[in-house]
Parts: sequence; structure tokens; C-alpha cells
Amino acid sequence: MFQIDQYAYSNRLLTVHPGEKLAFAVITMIICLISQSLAALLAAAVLMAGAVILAGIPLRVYLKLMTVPASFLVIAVGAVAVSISGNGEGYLWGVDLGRFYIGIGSCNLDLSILLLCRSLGAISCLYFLSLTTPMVEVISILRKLRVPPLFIELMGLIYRFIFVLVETAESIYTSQSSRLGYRNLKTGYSSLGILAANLLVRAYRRSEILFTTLSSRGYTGEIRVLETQFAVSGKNILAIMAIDVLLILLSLAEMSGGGLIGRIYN
Amino acid sequence: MAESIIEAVNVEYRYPDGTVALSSLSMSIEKGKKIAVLGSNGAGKTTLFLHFNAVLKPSGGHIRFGGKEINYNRKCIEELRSNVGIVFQDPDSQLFSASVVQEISFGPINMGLPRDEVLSRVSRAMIDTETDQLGGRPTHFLSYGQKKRVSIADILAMDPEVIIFDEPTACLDPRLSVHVTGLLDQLSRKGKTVILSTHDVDLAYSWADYIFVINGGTVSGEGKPEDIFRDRDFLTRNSLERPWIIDVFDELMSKGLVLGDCPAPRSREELLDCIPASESPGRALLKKIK
Repeated sequence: MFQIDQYAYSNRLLTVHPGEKLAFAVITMIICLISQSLAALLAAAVLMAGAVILAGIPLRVYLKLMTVPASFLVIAVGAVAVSISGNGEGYLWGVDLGRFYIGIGSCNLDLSILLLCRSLGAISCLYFLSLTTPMVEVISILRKLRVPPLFIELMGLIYRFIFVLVETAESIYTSQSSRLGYRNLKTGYSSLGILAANLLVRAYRRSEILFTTLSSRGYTGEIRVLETQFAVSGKNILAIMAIDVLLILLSLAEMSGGGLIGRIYN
Repeated sequence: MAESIIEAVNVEYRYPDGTVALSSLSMSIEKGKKIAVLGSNGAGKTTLFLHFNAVLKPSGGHIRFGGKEINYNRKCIEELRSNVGIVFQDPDSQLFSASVVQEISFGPINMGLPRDEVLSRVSRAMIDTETDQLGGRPTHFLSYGQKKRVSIADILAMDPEVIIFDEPTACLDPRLSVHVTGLLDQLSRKGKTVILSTHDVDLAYSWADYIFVINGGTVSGEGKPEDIFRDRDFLTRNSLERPWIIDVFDELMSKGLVLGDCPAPRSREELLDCIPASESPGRALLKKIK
């Protein structure tokens, strides 16, 4: 997670207007969620991967990050593909268990492949956004989109204090293990319990101290800060529009041509 | 008596659980001076500072700023907070934003300054604290020293009359300590009143114009550094060490190894200047003994 954050602040697309990146990711993701076209979904995944590489993130790192959702995906897709029924009709492969038949139906297989591609496409969009756009910029775009201030401030504070909390947890963990707190399973559990309890107390203390320090700088209930100004690039907007229109056309073409979806319903 | 900028008059403060933090504490800070506040952990230094900024309200007594008593209405509090800034000891408790620029801009924006003025103040504060290279980096990837400097820039950008530093050199490496004390001097030259709390008697002795010692929630002594640190009984009562410069100077003096007319030195350089170059009465005496 920290690795993602590190790239977000040091990639080659850092100077690109965050609004453009957010729009690109969100619009493409919506297309991925709606489209029934395998080609469009795969194209979206490849395009996003390309954009991430363009931002200077090594392919190796990107692929490694992709393995995180991959494990969930494999389980979920597997569960969709496998089904149980009374007879073996329409199954590509299966096992006869006497009264039941467990196997992979062709219909389910198509559906699971579609699901896989859809998830890949959507995840690529999210990764593109989180690898190229610092959270701070995402938050300031949301602020410009008139998301309620309470929500925005909470997002900002939570984001900042995730790191403080993790640092605190790390230092408690280190100090515990240096006194043999994790030498065996039993002490490990008890140490972990103490760590969690302490973390809660410290988080509470921190919030009190933060209120004090903010007050002393004139905080009166609303956090207002300077927004960084970015240049809007017409070229980028055109490119985003072109790509997304292409993806939509691809989806539509396959729908009218009775592509995958036609095969499922017939 | 010179004009005092901020003043605590018989301030009492009790924590909600009943612990007495400050008891009839009076302190008058002279405008434009370099003030050091010494005291052990839990003596009440930070609590006092929070009163100077109207974050805490005294249970008894009052605070005066520029001769006027603080009456704790909104306008008065806002004015006090724009005039008195506190740099807290732990930068992590002060930095609330992941963006360095947004962090520093918080104070000046709260003061209601126009955008251009905020921008120029932020960039000036970043140059003064040498954090101008950190603008694009998130606060959680900064080192402790860098966070400390950002937390100082937070307050500099508000440009207050009085700046309070709560143990500014704690946990800093020697080079950064020197940088921070240099910054304090620079602020003082600009006419700011600088208050600093510290455990470091050597720093307090060589830096401050005037020293307050706090013990058990009240001022147990105050005076010029050379007077405060001469009184051995007072130092023992308040568990303070003697600055090494005074120790060495007194030792040299008792052995007749310093120039007769030398005033008590405040820094390493001044001390070295006190030691005569070649034939001094002391050295001649030593030779004779040999």
C-alpha cells in the first residue's frame, strides 16, 4: 500500500491535471462495469496498464500489484464457473455424483470469463488512478465537485493518520518483540491484544492533541487549505474522450452483432 | 520596565481530573526578547503555553496580550491566535495534511488572508525553514527533522508577533539543532518575541536574554542567564545542571588562568577568548612551580 502511495507522488504523470486522470479512470471504469464486450474490457485493461507504464511504474511492480486482487478473482470466477445440477446437459466438463452432477457449463464458463475480464478492466482503472494520482489531489478534485466538506475533511484526516497509526503500531510491535513479546503463539496473541488496545487509546489521544494543535492555528470547525493549481490540457481531454468513445463503440458493436451476450441468451 | 507583550497574572489551572497544573503563576514576557523557559517534565510549561494561545482558559487569574486582558470572546481569541504561534514538540501531532503546502497554508488561510498573500507567505516560510524542496512530497514520507521544519514553517507562515517553541531541539541531530537555533536568532533579529522551552541548560544559557524557571506549576525563579546559573542552591532546588561553560570558566578563574577583566562568557568562542594567548600571570606561576 505504501508502495502505491510512493509511486503516486513520484510518477511521470504527476503534473497532469488530477481531474483528467480521475475522469479517465472513472469513465473507463463505468464502461467496464456496463460493457458486455470482452474485446472492450480487455482493451480497457491493456490501455490502463499502458498508461501506468507510461507513468514510469515498472511493469514488474504493476504485475505484482495485480496478483493481490488476482487471488480473489480466481476464487470468485471459479465459483461462478462451477455449478451443480440434476443432469449433465450443457456441461463442458463434469463429474457425475449419482443424483447430482457437478461441472462447468458452457453458459457459466462464458459468464465467468466475462466477469474475469470485467473485474480486470475495473481494477486496472483503480490502479491507474491510485498509482498516478496522490490522494491529496483526488480529495481536492472531490472538493471542487462539491462533495460535502465533512466527508472531504474526514477523508484527508483518515488518509494522513493511517500513516501515523501504522508507524505507532510498528514501534509498539518492535518494542514488544525486542522484549520477547512474540516468542511463541501464546505470548504473541497476548502482545497483539495489548497492541490493539494501546493503538485505540493512542489514536484517541492523538485526536485530542490534533484538535489542540489545530485550534492554536485558528481552526474554527472547517479545514481550509491552499489548492495546487494544475494546467488543463486540451490534448489529454481529447485523448481521453477518443479512447472512451472507442471503447463504447466497441461494446455497442458487439452487442448489436450478437456477440458474447447473444450467445449466452440463445 | 520595558513594554511587556504577553503576560500571565496569577494564573491557576486545574485539569478536569482535579490535578493542579498551574498555581498562581505570573510571568511577564518583554517584547522582542529571547526568552527561555526551563523546567522538568510535567512542570507545566506546555500547559502555560496553551494559555498564551487561548487554547486553555485559566481557572483563576488572567492572560494579557499587549497590555489588554484576554476576555475569551471569539474575536479576541482569533486575534490572540494570529499573534501568538506555538510550534509543538511532536511534529506528528501538528501535521494534519498529507501535503506540505496545504499544511503550511492552513494557518494563514484561517487568518482570512487573500490567496496571493497566503501563497507568498507559504513560499517564504518554506524558504526560511529550507523545506522548499519538499513541496511535492507527502508529509508521511518525510524524516523527523523534515517534519519538524515543516511544523515550524506552519507557524512562520502566520507571521505572529510571539513565537513559542516547545522543546524545538528535542530529538534533533546536532546539525539540525544548530539550524533551528539559527532560525530562532533570525526571528529575534526581525523583532519577534521568541519563547522557547527546553531541558538544555547550555542552550538556554548561551541563547536567551532572560530565563524563567518553572517548577511545580509556578515560576520558581527568573533572571538574566548569568545570574540564574550562578546560584548553586537555586539550581539544586530546581534540579538544573550548571552550563558547562560556567563550570569551566569558574574552574579556570579559580586557578588564575583567565584574563582578569573577562566578563562571564556566554559561548564557546567567548570562553576561548578569555584564555590568554601566551604569558599570563597564571602560566608564569605554573612555570615557576615547575
